[in-house]
Amino acid sequence: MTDPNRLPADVDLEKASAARCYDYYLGGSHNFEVDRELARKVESRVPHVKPLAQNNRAFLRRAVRYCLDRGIRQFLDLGSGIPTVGNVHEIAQERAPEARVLYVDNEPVAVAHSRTILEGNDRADALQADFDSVEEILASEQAGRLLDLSEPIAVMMVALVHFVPDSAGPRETIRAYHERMPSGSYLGFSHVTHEGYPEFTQSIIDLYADSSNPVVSRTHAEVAELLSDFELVEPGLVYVPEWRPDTEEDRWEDPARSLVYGAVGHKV
Amino acid sequence: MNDTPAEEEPVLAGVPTGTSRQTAEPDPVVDFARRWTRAVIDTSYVPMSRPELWDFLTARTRRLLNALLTEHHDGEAAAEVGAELVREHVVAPEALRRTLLLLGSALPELAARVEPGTVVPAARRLELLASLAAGFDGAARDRVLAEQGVIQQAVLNARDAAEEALRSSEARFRAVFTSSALGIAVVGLDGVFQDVNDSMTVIFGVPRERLLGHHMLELADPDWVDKLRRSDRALLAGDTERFAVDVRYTTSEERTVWAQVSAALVTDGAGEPDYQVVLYSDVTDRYMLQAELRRQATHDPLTGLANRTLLATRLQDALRPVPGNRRVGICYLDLDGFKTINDSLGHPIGDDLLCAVANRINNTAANHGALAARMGGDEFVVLVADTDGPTRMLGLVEHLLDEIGRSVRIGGHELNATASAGVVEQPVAGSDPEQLLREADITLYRAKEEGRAQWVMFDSERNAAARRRFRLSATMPAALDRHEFFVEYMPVRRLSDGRTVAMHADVRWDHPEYGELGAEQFVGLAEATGAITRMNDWLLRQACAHAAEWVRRLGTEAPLVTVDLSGRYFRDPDLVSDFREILEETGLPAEQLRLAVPEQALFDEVGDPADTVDIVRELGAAFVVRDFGARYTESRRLRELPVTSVRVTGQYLRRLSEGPRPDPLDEHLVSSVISAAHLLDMTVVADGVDTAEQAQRLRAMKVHAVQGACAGEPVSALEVPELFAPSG
Repeated sequence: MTDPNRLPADVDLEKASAARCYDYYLGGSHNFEVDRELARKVESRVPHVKPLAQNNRAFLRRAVRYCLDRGIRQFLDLGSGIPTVGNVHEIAQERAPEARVLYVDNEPVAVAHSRTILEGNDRADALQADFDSVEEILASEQAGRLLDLSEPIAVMMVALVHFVPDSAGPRETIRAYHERMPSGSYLGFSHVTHEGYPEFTQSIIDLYADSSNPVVSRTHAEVAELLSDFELVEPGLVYVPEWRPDTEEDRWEDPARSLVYGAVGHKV
Repeated sequence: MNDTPAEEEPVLAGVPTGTSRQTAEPDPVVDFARRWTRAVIDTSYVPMSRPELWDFLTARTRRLLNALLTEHHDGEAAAEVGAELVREHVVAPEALRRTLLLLGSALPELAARVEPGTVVPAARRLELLASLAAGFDGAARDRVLAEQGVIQQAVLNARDAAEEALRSSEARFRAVFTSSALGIAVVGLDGVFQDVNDSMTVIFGVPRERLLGHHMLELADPDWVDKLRRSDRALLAGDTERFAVDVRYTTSEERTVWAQVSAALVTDGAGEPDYQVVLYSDVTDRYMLQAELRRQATHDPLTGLANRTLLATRLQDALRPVPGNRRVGICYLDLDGFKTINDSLGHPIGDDLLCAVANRINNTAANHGALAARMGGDEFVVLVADTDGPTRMLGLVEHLLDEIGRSVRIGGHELNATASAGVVEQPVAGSDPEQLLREADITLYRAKEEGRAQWVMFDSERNAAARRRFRLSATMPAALDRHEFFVEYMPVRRLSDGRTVAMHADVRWDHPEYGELGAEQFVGLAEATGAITRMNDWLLRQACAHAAEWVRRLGTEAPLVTVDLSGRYFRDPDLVSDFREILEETGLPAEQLRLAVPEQALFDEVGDPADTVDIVRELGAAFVVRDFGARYTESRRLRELPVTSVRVTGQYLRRLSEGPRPDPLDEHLVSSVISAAHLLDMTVVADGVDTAEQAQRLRAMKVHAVQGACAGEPVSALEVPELFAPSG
């Protein structure tokens, strides 16, 4: 279970974790006071942060279902966080019980949590690894058991890459995943931007600066560049409420307030 | 957020089946469920699409309506709905508030629309709302507790995993630390060893106590300290993440240790440098092997001297153009008669001698700051990269020859080796390595020729002559193939009657570059290179063919033919068969042939007549002894051989005709040679007789015949019969 090449990461409960704050926004209780304190601060500056987070989660659901509709039966969810509710394996296995899911997060509590709720599910597992450890992830025992890279796969990077600074080379990492994904695969992707409401985004950046997960905002062009290896399915890279809403009622009057771009890419 | 709900087709279950009515008038229950959906959907994340939530809440609305319309409901159904909301993650207090407000205000009205005329008592309505709230709260409380339990457990698990990982990583580190063949040291930022493993003590042969508390730079020889210090500073300064340098260390027992030192900086939790981990890999064997391989590549395996490769490199270095008047010296040495030692005493002794000599050459060269190299066989070269003129260079050469000449005792033999040396000493400017070596080699060749155990200094004019000789000897075999040689005949005149009695075959070379060359210019070379065998063979065939033709043309008047054969050819075992074959082929009567050979060629090593002599005798040919008189004392042995005449030649013959009276000593020498020949019953032929005066004097001294200018000019084979034409 422990990876001999990795020095154990600290389980640091003194700092708020983005994953647990996210859980709080979604209405979960998998969080601690330190997380709630930060989340409440965010809420005071960005009052619609909960609907915002929920929308992002709803985008994940729609993206997973989109992939399921196109026959995808295996999912690699990167930066899966604390899977409070509406997890990929729940969405996928509800419709296709044979679907397989591997969760990856670099935060030990998130991974331990995932393992707890996945107990007894032999078609889903969680792995502790960094986003850019592409080969390590794909060569892991879990990946060997759950994923078949000769078949199309869906890789989810939802609300993940805005925690990856440019210095860590996200463009190269995404390309590395792209190279390993069989043709016919999909990428689910969402990312915070400051283009619509810079003051909201700046508040989030400021408040998360001291957490375990500082945030990097990117423009539409920058996000599009990150995804340029993929062909984006309709409607392309848009604010998440505009990405294939379930009903017209789900569209936002001002989608820019969602602060998050979403897209699904296709590897042709 | 969803402030502008766009009403659309109601979907799905729960809708009354009357289809026509459906479009005209929406199901009020469905309509209610949509309002309910709108009220709660953004209070927390509900893992359903909006239409799915509509369905879910439509079903719950019907259950609540049923409960409301039932007279004695116990609140169970409403509590169940509350719990189900939480189960579907409608969990926020705000969701409960909005639900209660909606149900409280609009549910009775909905009941009235679904069941016209129904009046729900207020108590029943309140009871329903309270039950739903209680069900919701209970489920929410359970959910919160469960989730808190899960997350706490996750934290514990993560901590356990981290501790386990830490423990196993510590155990792993400890195992690596203690059992590794690598030397591992924990070194403080001040460079002092804080901890070292056992391998460190093995590699460096120093006990732990002598390492702990000491500085890491102490494990490096002075010349390597700087490199190590620089690398470590760069590491500590954060300029590099790790380094790896090779460092030499000499132990107190004078053992050399080569270690590859690599280090990495370990930082503390705050990212500040804490200590360094330094690894020492013992690469001594590799270094030794490399050094040995380097040495093998550049040294002669037998003697340990530098080989050609190293010499070439050093020579190249020495000849690198530099300002100033630097000079360079080369001494090419060759042992005299080494082959004889090898052949007579065997190769092991020969090798030992080479080693002994090489050792002396090496020591002597080293004392003069020169490089000694073995070129192969018994040839050595000493290179002086920086000479100050011929004098000191020759001092070294004499020293070398003296050293080589000291007797050496090998396997019970007292051996006295000598060597010859070719020396070149010249300015660096304008010298090239190959030419330098070639010149030294040619000069050595001259030293050998001019007598052994001496040195000869390179001299460009003499070198040119030597080079010409090399050219001649090198091109001789091809010249034979190209028919560049031809035969001329010198008449041999009998002095008693002035008749030409024999023709002496003389080989000449029509050289394309040097013009017509006489035998004296290349026969010696041919002897040296071995080309003489083929040349003599060719000459013998030519002469026999020509002489046979003369016999056919002139009958008994035909002259004899004399052919000079080298001793080397004469002793060639193949001669016998060749000789028969030549006589048969040409049809020359053997008695017409005189083979002129050096006296010693007629005898084998122990002084018995050579086997070839008998064959020649059997066939009926006879010999002329060339250069007779060199060793009188042994001449008696010629008596038994088929020797008809002797030939004398030399300066003393020439001097006989000079001056009014011959020098008495010359006269005496000639006369004693002639007397000896007569006593052996042989006629005497004098060679090189140019004047009638000479001929006259020789005749007086009983010389039988002469050859040379006074006997007639050389002619070609075709011209010979004309000399004997019966014109009278």
